[in-house]
This record gives sequence, structure tokens and C-alpha cells, in this order.
Amino acid sequence: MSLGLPINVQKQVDPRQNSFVPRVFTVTGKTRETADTVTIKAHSGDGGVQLEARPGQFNMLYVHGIGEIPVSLSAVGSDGSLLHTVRRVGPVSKALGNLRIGESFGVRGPYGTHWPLESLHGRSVIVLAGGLGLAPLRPAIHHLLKFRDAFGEVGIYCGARSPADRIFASEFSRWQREKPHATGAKSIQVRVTVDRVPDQAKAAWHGEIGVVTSLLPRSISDPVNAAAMICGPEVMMRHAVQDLLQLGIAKEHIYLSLERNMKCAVGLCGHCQLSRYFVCRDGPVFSFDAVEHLLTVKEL
Amino acid sequence: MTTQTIEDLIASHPFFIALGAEFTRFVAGCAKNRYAEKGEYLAHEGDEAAALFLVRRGKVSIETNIPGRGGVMVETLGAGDMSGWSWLFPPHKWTFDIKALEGTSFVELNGKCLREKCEGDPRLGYEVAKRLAGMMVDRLRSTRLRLLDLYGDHSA
Ligand SMILES: Cc1cc2nc3c(=O)[nH]c(=O)nc-3n(C[C@H](O)[C@H](O)[C@H](O)COP(=O)(O)OP(=O)(O)OC[C@H]3O[C@@H](n4cnc5c(N)ncnc54)[C@H](O)[C@@H]3O)c2cc1C
Ligand code: FES
Repeated sequence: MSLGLPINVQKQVDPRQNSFVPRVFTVTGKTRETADTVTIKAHSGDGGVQLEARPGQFNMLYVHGIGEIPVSLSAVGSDGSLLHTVRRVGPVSKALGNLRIGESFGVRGPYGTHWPLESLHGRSVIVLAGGLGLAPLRPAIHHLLKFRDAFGEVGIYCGARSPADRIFASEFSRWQREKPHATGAKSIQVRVTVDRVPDQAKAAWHGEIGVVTSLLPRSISDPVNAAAMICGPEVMMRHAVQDLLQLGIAKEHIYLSLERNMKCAVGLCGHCQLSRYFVCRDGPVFSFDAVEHLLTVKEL
Repeated sequence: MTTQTIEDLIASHPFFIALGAEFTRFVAGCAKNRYAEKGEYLAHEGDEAAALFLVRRGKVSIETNIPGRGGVMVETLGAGDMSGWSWLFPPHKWTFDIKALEGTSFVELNGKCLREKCEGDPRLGYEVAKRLAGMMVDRLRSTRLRLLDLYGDHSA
């Protein structure tokens, strides 16, 4: 069974052959997630060849005349469209966020390692996301929903700064409602927490208040057969890993997605080097045992 | 259907997990099973702190009242959490309000009774103090992580 997600790319250019040539994509939809974050839907418009993109991989997005940045795929539409969720922090991300429907930008990729979903079949899975970290995890969540019966218990735990800073908030209840087909299998647990609730949002907020790790269960029934996928600020991930280890989940079954500045995205320039790894090529998804010794090293 | 005794409820709560039958029985002498309706206060800031709460089901908020803003929630706690350590430390006053955000089942341990038992049996006292300290370390870490405002925009 192929669990890859089909992506349309330009006919003539297979990025596996030429990783530096961006394909032109056109913005076909925009969803405002929060005050500074937008999800951009884009089509290649040429009905090109299918490429396999896997949950957790990223693309290099190029805005004409401004620059190029790595952005994770936050979903792939059934029509082959690409969805990227971008937070405006600097020139390129702001330019991407400002693109209007009908305008175009460059895409090369997909690059990097992916969440090892196929190898997690049969396991219970914890998904822990902080802030924008939910973006690269969303395709993995879609996979967990689609192949629900292939997994044991599934818990999705999301943290955000405030209720207004949650991305994909409208999908949470759908994830929660999703029922497994197999009898006896449990539905997915979705829990959301925020760091703070502004006064004007008090009445409407019915979720939790606290740090995302506080959502984790205090014990799990079969930790040897459990795995976790984490994405968020690196400090949050370091603390989350400690809690997951405490629950008894093995280091090699805890996966995290790391971010480093990138230029080439294909393991040539060294911009994203993390000791012996290039995050663009060997990551962004790593198992914790592979990077444990690097996560607390300063200046890497 | 088997009815759970107060000892069962204490023994199965994460805060007292693996406490041992002898101590569980001892602690149960200070405990009662309670239920709070949504909106009901379990504790009021400034009142005598006379209890430790083991939340079994439901959700409570830790809040404080800010003039002009009303009750401001600092944190929420749910099934498996505990709340209340002021009963152990002078001046034994609640430092925040605790309010049920939904119908909440909990075990209430009388603070004075527990304090006396802990002082009477240092082994129990040490067990309880260790668990309280572990929980405080956890809350302190959570508070520090939230102070870092990790999801904020730090580019400015
Ligand atoms: C593998 C990978 C996947 C990524 N996925 C996404 C994604 O799905 N959505 C998304 O919005 N971004 C994502 N990023 C981060 C994104 O690439 C950066 O935000 C972008 O490079 C910023 O470029 P800029 O020109 O807009 O701002 P710059 O001028 O490069 O930076 C502006 C300011 O933002 C800060 N900044 C830069 N990068 C980050 C960052 N990663 N986190 C927080 N602050 C940062 C800088 O320190 C600086 O202060 C990903 C990065 C990597 C490596
Ligand atoms: S970005 Fe060039 S080696 Fe990774």
C-alpha cells in the first residue's frame, strides 16, 4: 500500500533530476488561520506528472524578486493542490502571505524525511504539536484518520498561545468525531490547550489552559508499542521528549521535526548542518535517539 | 457494578499511586468523596486552606480576581490532577480560587487531618512531601515554559 500523497509537478521537470528548478504554482485559495498565519492553496496548472510527497516533508517556496524559504506541506488536496501554512515573520514569509489569488510563486521539492507512518502500523500514536508545529503534522493526522484501523490508540495534543492563535481549529472536532471502523477500537482523542486566554475570549473558551505537555496522559497501557510524533518550538520538544520517555516510550519511537536555516535544501551548501547531519536531507524528521546528543548543544 | 471505596479512589489516583495499602488506609481517614456543580468554588483566595483535592472527573480552573477584569484563569486541571498544597505551608491560606468549570468529581482530603497524620508518622509525611514536591516541580516547569512565550513572534 502506498501511503504517499500525490503531487502534480510540471511535466518536463522532475525535481529528482533537477532539484534547483522551481515549478510555477498559482495561488488558488487562501485561508486566514490567525492574525499572522495563512494557508495558501496552490495548483501547478499543467496537470504534470505525479510525485510522491510524504507527510512531514517540506518545499522551498520562492517569491519572485524576494527570496526562497522552506515551508512544510500542511496538506495535499485530492485535486493535487498543495497547501502550505505560512506565518509572516520576515520578508519572504510576508511576501508569501500577501500573495493574492491568481498570483504565482515558485515551488521546488518535496524534500527531506517524513513521519514514518507505515512503520508505526499496529502502534498507539501520540501526536504533540505546539503552535505552527501542527502544520507539518496535519498530513500525518490525515493519514492516521484515513488508516485509523491500522493504529492502536491515537491522541492528538495541541498547544497554542491563545484561542485566536490556533491553526486548523475548525478541523479539531472532525478529528475527534472520526470513528474507527474496527469494532472495539477507540476514537481519536483530541485535546487543545492555550497559554493564555484574553478577557474578551474567556466566555467562549472551553479548552484547557496550560502548557501542551500537561495534556499528555499520565500513563499509557502499552508503552512498548507506542510511538510519538512531535513538532513545535525546540524547547517545547525537548521537554515533551522527557515526558514521553517517562511514559515508557522508547527513544527510537519518538520522532521530532527540526528546523534550521536552509538554502539549497538538497544537502550541498551546509547551511542547515547539525553536527553530522544536514537537516534538509537527513531531516527534518528525526528519531530522538539520532539527535538526542545534539539537542542541548548550544550554537548548533 | 462494584462500588469503589474511598481507599480505592485514593489508591487509583495518580497523585497517590503506589502509596501502599497501609498509608492509603491512613490517608483515607481524612478523605471524602465529593462532587461540585459547574461554577461552584472549591476554594476562595485568602480563605483558610483546609484541603487537598484529587480531581477524578471533570475540570477545574485556578483563577484570581483582577479588579475590572473579573476572574482570570491561570490554569485548568482535570482528571488525574491534584490541587491544593497551601494546607501544608503557613499561613495555610488559599493563594488562588479553584472553580469547577464543569461537573467535577473529586476526593477532598482534610488538610489539618492530613498534616497531623504526616507529622505523626514521618514516613507518611515524607511520602506525601515527595509527591507534593514532584507535582510542584512539574507545575514550575510548566509555568516557566509558558513564561518563555514559545509560540510568540520574537522577530521584532
Ligand atoms: C524544514 C522547515 C519547515 C518549515 N516549515 C514552515 C511552515 O510550515 N510554515 C512557516 O511559516 N514556516 C516554516 N518554516 C520556517 C520558515 O522557513 C521561516 O519562517 C522562514 O525562513 C523565514 O523567512 P523570512 O524571509 O520570512 O524571514 P527572515 O528574515 O529569515 O526571518 C525574520 C525573523 O523571523 C525569525 N525566524 C526565521 N525563521 C524562523 C522560524 N523557523 N521560527 C521562528 N522564527 C523564525 C528570524 O530569526 C528573524 O528574526 C520551516 C523551516 C524549516 C527549516
Ligand atoms: S540547506 Fe544546503 S545542505 Fe541543507
